[in-house]
Amino acid sequence: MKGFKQAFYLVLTLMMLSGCQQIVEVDLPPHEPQLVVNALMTAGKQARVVVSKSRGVTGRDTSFSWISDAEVQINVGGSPWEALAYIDSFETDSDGQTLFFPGYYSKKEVPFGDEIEINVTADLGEARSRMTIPPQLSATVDTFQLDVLRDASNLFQSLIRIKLENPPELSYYELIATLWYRIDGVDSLLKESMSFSSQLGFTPFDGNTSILLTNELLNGEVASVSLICFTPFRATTTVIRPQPDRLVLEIRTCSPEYYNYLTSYQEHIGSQVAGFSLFTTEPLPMYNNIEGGLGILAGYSTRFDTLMLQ
Amino acid sequence: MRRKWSCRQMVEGLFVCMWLLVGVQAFGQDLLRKEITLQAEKASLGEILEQVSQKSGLLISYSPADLPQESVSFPASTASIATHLDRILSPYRLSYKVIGKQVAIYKLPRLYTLSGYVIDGESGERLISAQVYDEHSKRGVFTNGFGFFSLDLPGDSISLVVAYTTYKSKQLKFFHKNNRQLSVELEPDFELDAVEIKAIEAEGPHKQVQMSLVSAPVSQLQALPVVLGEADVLKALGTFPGIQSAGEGSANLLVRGGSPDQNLILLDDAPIYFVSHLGGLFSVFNGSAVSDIQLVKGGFPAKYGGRLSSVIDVRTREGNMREITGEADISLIAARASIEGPIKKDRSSFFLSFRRSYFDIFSNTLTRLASDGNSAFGYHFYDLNAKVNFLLNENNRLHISMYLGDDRTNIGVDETFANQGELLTYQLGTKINWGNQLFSVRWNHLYSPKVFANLRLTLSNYRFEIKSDYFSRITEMEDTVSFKGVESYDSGISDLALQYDVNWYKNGRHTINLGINLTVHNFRPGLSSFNLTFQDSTERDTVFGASQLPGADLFLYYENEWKVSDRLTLRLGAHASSYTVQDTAFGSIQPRLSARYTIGKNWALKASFVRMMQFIHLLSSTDAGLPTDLWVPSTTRVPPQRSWQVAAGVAGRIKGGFEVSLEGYYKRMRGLIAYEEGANLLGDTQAWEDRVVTGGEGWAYGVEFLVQKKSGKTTGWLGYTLAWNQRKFSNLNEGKLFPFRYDRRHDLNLVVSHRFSEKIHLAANWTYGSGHALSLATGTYNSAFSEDGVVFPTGTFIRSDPLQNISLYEGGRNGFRMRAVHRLDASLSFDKKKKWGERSWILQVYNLYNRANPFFYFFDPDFDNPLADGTVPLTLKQFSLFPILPSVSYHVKF
Repeated sequence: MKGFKQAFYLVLTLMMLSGCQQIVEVDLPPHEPQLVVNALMTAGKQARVVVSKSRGVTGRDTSFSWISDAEVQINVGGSPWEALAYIDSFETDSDGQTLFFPGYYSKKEVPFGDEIEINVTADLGEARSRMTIPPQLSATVDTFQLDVLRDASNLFQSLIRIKLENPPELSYYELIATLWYRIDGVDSLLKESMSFSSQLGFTPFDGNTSILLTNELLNGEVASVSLICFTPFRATTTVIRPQPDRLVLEIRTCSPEYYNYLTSYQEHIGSQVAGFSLFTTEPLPMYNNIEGGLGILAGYSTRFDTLMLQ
Repeated sequence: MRRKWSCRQMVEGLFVCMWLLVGVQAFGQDLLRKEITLQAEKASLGEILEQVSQKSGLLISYSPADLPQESVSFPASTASIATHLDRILSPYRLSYKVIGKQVAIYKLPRLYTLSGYVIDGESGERLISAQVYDEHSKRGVFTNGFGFFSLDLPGDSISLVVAYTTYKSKQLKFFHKNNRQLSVELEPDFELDAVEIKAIEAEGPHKQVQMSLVSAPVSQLQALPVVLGEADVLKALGTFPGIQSAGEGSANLLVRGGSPDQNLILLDDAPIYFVSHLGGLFSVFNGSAVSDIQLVKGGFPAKYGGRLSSVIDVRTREGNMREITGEADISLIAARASIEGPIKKDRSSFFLSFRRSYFDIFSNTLTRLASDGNSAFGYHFYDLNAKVNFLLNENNRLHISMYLGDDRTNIGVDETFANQGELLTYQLGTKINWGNQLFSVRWNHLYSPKVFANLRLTLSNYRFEIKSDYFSRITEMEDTVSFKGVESYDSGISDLALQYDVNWYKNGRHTINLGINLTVHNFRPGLSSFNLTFQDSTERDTVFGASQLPGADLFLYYENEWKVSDRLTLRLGAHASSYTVQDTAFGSIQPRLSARYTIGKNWALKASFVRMMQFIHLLSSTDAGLPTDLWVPSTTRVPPQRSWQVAAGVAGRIKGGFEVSLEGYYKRMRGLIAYEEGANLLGDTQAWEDRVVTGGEGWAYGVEFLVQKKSGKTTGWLGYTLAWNQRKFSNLNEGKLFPFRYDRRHDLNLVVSHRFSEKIHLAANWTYGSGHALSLATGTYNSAFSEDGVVFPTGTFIRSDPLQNISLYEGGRNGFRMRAVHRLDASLSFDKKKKWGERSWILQVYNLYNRANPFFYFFDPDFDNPLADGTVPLTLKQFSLFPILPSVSYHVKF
């Protein structure tokens, strides 16, 4: 029995030692940087192109990833349009926090309907891409109403009906809704992105704050789409009674590249968040239309519809 | 130009060579291939043989006394010499043998059938796959799944050897002159220096046509050291070549490049769909209840179908027919007890075993103490195996068995606290349960000494359910807001099957197996419901997801094990199945071909070709064996999985009782499915068919080597696998080929068990596996939405922030390799005989040298050491699940 007691104590000691968690550092193969070109353009606004380079996930490399000495040339309809200039601008937001927006800016406003081509030359190589921004959606917002269901918990619900004059070709859209409201004692209007919920097969984007759809969903017919919007539910009874002022609906008519980029980005990022460990989930292919590099050239035309609320 | 051979081509070449070798050997009797024309008109057999001799140029010798006196007539016909001889001689019990350039005609002795059972001499239980072998005629057979054998032997003196691993072999000598029934009792071999009488000749993998078979005595599998001392026969199979675990701590097995859903796991002939307890740390098979376990990974017999990669056939104990016995043990995780005995001595018996974990006793108490009684967490699992069997008469036997097993988790929270003038109450009660219920009735009937039949009715049910009730109330001044919700999720699958199997031991050359099966499935691929109540008014009462989905499959099989010659045996069979779900029907005919060619006394070449089809799929995002995995049927949009596999190898036995096998295999899979990238498992309102990608293809090939010793003081095995495993989906990885997640190039296992004395027994297992494949981003770049940087309130900037940046998988899907896995486990058992029975202390150490094996990888942000530009660097780290882990368990047997 003495032997067993000793064995028991030995096991107990080993068990206590075994409580240590084992985490080991692992080396990754070195990464060869690639040229990255990102340009999301809005018709009627200045073009902004950001050129950067990819880098390794790990390591202590502090080199700046933005590239400021590239040549960025845009052609429209096959003719030279503008060589973009690099602006290393800094801006400050309303809270005084510094945000920086470096990039290559055009002086002209981006057109729609013509093919836009971009050529980028940098030390890492050359990259190019092309796309066409479609015209604005000819749609009418048929019904636009807001029901306040739960003012105590800041839950709002709205029903939107949209009639799409359906073009014959496949078209892509993004809808974004914003609720503007007042709170007693606060002078300025506050804005809240609204979440979308629908039984139709829309692709919600970025936490449901916008949805992506194609006219294929409407089966080639002029149709009404019903949507329900919620402001984020807040589980508090701190008595804030928002008074809705207006609802702003932005309708973006997108290039296919924009639609593909957003949908694949959604899945790509979602997989990284949902994964057991960052970057070690199954890879979701990221849409890329930059020849000779990585990134996106895409754009949209946009229009706003506003409903004033009582 | 010098051609570079790929490994795949080399493996394919190996198969071609093997097949050619078998072919050349099988048809080596070229002398008898020559075609001649024969005609007879009232001629004696001697005259006809003379005619054959003249036309073929062969010398034919015979004893005139053996030839019948009658005359024979037949019209002119042209055929090979062998065909003519077979036709002429077989009606008169005559046969021939080629000796050099002569053909010798001889008289066959009359055959009588010897049939019966091989049983355990202590308990009266029947022994599966015991070998019955006549040394004189060199004829032998294995007992079937119910311990039955039937063997046609010449009416002559017999030297019958009956052998079964871990039992003393028995040799019986008698003159065999009538059909007779014989039950042979074997005694368990407890002696350390047991002489393996005659067993060497009788035993060995070269004796069976079946190839790619993994078997080991249950006692040896149970002795393998495991995590926390809970013996596990299923996980022990993962130490054999061609079989690997889905990960450390997982009970799921991956066989020859297949996925876990491609394994057909049978418990007393009932399919079992979920085999893990405690997240895969243990399998549902209680070692005390298992009498036999076999795994087939290729060359599948025709009776099996419905899965692509393996069949794991587990049989439970029948119960002691002669006396009441029992055993009990306790480990750090669970306690179990078994009792068995006769209901009526030698006519009927019962077996009952129960196992339960007791982790919840501590966890509930500790969590209550830690939370001042506000919360509790408990988890436990249990298994109940019960069986009765009745020997109705010599020709009829009835087995009724049942298995119930569950994993149960409860989480409870009841808290009330004040916060800035508000009083918050929060209550939560969640139950997560999953488990199997199996029931089977089997009726063995012996129509004759040559015909054994089994009728079985089985019911299998697996269900996974979550139920959660929560309530919250916030009170501030006069205002009160309350919110109440009930959520539930339910999924599972049920099977009701009726099968009839017949084993017909037709004669010494042909054994026919045939049968029919009808299975009715009921799929429940995930049903979610929500009931939300706000301020006592129901706001949302929703049910979504697929409800029940019935399906049915019917299959027939036929198989003929044909002893073509003393050296060559073929098993030719087919499995025809049809499957119906909703308005869709699928069907297939799957050939099953196996061949064995013996070389000398101790070696055999083996080869097989099989086609398989799988009508059900498992939706799994991890392959780790989570209870959330969903079984779903094939549909028009998600067609069945199918495969073919060719395998060839050599098996034999060498001096010292070592069994050796070397096999190569090539498996092609089509119709594979996978979860759509980014799909959610639970609570997804999308139909499951919208969440999967279909049409996947797979290639798995490799070479396996095994040397195994099953009896003696020292037992164990050494297994090595060299394998490749690839997948291709048109809409994954840009349509390019990629390694399967569990692609492992090298897998090596060494298992040794040694009994020093009657009191001390040591077992050790060293395992090595090269790294699994993993999708890992090695680079990152800014997305169009992260160009402005991500500035956190603290001012820090996380480089490669997963919420904004894009990962660059430069190696593609599964393009990165994890570190190799290796570890040593050991156990030491101290046994002592007592007046009342026997007791054992078992000390085990898992991962003896404390190897940090990879469980998963993650990127760790180092917030404490930001870089000069304020960014937070990431480091790739590996998490290891089990460090050195000792355990102790106590076992008694009476």
